[in-house]
Amino acid sequence: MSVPILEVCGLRAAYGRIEVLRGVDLAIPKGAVVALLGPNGAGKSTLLKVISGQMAPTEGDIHLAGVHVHEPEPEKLARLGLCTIPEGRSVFPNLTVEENLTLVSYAGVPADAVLETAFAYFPKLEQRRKQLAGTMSGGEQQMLALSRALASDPALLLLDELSMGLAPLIVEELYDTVAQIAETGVSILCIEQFARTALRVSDYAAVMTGGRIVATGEPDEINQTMSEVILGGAA
Amino acid sequence: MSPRMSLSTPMSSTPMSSTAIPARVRRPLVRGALAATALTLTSCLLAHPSLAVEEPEAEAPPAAAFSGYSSAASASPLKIEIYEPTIPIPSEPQAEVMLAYTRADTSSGSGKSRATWIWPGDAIGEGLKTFVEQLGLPAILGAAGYPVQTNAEHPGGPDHETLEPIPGTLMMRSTADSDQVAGRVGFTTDQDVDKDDIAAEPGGGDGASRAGGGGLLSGLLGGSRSAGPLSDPLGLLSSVLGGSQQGVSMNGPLARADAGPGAVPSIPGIIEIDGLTSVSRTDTGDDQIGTTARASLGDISLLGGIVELEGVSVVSRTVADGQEGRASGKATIGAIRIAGVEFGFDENGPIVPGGNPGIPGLPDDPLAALNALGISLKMPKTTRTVDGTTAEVVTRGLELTIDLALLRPILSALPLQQILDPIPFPDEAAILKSLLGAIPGLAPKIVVTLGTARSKTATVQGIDLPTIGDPDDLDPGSVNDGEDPGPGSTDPGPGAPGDAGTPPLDSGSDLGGADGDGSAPIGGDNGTGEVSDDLTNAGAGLPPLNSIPGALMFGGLAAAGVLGMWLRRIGAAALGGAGSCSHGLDTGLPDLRKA
Repeated sequence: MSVPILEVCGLRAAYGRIEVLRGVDLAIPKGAVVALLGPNGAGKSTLLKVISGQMAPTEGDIHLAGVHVHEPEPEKLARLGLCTIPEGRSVFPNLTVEENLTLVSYAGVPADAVLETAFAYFPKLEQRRKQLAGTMSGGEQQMLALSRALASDPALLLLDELSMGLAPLIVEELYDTVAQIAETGVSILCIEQFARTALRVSDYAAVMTGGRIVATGEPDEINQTMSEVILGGAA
Repeated sequence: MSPRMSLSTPMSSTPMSSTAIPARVRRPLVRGALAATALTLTSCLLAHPSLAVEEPEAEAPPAAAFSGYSSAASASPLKIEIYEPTIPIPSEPQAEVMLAYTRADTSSGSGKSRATWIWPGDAIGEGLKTFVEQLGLPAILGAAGYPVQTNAEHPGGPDHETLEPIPGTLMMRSTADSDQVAGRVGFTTDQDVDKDDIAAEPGGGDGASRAGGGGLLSGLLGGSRSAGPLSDPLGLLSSVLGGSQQGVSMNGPLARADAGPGAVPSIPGIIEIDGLTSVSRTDTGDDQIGTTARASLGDISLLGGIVELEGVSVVSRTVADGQEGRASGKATIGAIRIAGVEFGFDENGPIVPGGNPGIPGLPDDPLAALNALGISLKMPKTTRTVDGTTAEVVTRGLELTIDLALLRPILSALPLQQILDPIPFPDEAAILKSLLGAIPGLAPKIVVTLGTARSKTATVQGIDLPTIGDPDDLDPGSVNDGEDPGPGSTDPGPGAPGDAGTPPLDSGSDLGGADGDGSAPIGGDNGTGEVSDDLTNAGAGLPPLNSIPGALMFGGLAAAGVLGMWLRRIGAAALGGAGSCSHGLDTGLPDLRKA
């Protein structure tokens, strides 16, 4: 069995005296799409913050490609291929689509290549390349955020609530793109509160609640056994 | 004239004046400038008393015993903690309730207090708004925060708050002023929860401001501050008092009146209580800070009467006076009966005087008997910590742990899913449905602590900053000579030929060398009418000598810090490849694209 591209062992993290992660164990095989599901407040986004180096854990280990990573700096992880798309898209609203994408070239990828990659995945963005990002719909902004991440040539993509505030049709479209990205060999950790769509494109799924992973398995297993109890029918 | 004024005279002579104006004309000008300077300074000093030179005969104010302080006190006669990981509250324990919870915190001039008869823990009490939003309940329920509490704050205000939902029986008071910050809660018949303070404090108080002056009086004063009526003297007998009031030892019977106190909420079958009081208080005196946390409760019946206790009282008190910290704490329990058999109690558990009679159907050892029921009892030790001028005491009474893991098979057998499925939960209440669905997985551990009191007081002394002389006070001549510019060297005295020092101002009429008495001209005039440029420059800007060692020391520390940081980086870089984590993996940052 190959070494997982990401493995967290006994990870704990806290905001002040409130412990949010209470011993998380999770592994993402190389090239796989893993959906991390769970109710609001389960600690999913905090886990993502810790993995991407934006928050320090209080205990536990993070292994990237079989190497123990200690107190990583987020920008170094990003340069090495770990790319995060945070909750809320985080595009620059007062810059055009093209300018938003061109910014990625500062990471070392030529601007032309960045635009080519982005427009290949999302042709709609090419039509709107001169439009201010803040004036686009939520779905289009999410596309821009996703394409910006893809342009940095990620090896491990962390998606936080891709579907937040989007119409179901747009969410389906975005997850189709996620499936396309996965086919290129990019490993993806996909955090979702609404499970059905994420489970459709994922290879494995884990359910998190109360700061712990309470179930792992293949999407069908998770869908059948855990949706009612843990997700409260929200799936 | 003060020396300070005389030292201002060098400012009046400049190189320009000495070179551009003939000496005969210059001397009267210098005298005039000196007189003008002196007048200006005098008027300034009179107008600004803070700048005035301290009169030697004026008596200095007494030095404060400390320059800063902080204190924290919290008390609750009954604390129930529930450890159940399936409860989606991000705190440990997942749920807690404290009855008659009080706290008082102060910090060098500011203070705040809280009193509440039921406190659901900080997670819910402080964050009720978030919980209401998360549960999908109407936002108005949590808009005003947790409602059952009183808070007082000094100096921001309000300086007192009182809440008496059951007048004459249940009261919550928070007060905060410059002398005392206190939170008080009581289920008593007389609304007086301070009356046993003196007895509770070792030695009946130590004179720390109000506390030492009379706890009973301060209790009455505290009562009169709010809207409540004055205490009924008979209430002193009928209220529930801590065991320490009668000086009862841990194993002795607790004296208490037969008359029961006010109604107290109870959890039938688990815990029933006769009455309880709680006080957290900090008294701020001129010479010391005293912090007291006290919690008392009357008769307690646990688990439907299996365990009965006659009164529990815990007191924690700390005092700090800038020189030392003192800490004292005491937990007092009256008689204890387990299954009708009266026991004593020490830190190791129940003690049976005269042998162990045994409990029918259960093991002989009373602790083992309770353990068989999933119940354990222990008497936590009082922890005292004194570190210089910081003192802390945590006192806890009896701790009862109930492990309800035995219930899990019963809960699992419930047909909960069949009950919940037909209920049309709205989307907003999805989390509620999820919570109900998790009931079969419950296996909570309940910890009941009878009496907790924590008190901490710390004082600090001010930092003795080195005094750097006023540039006006520096003697240019001394600095130039490399001597210590101490006060004694500022006035070399008249008659020192060639000395660049400054003569006293009151000898202004003799200024200059024209009178031939050997007095040195101002600014080092050597009598030829020339002012030394070196002396003038030296007096203006050189730092006093006593700052140089300090600068060297701090500079050295900073350099050592930078060096250490780089050494650490070099070491980490050298050992990074060889270091491994607890799983035996190398440490570093891999290129994920090449993995």
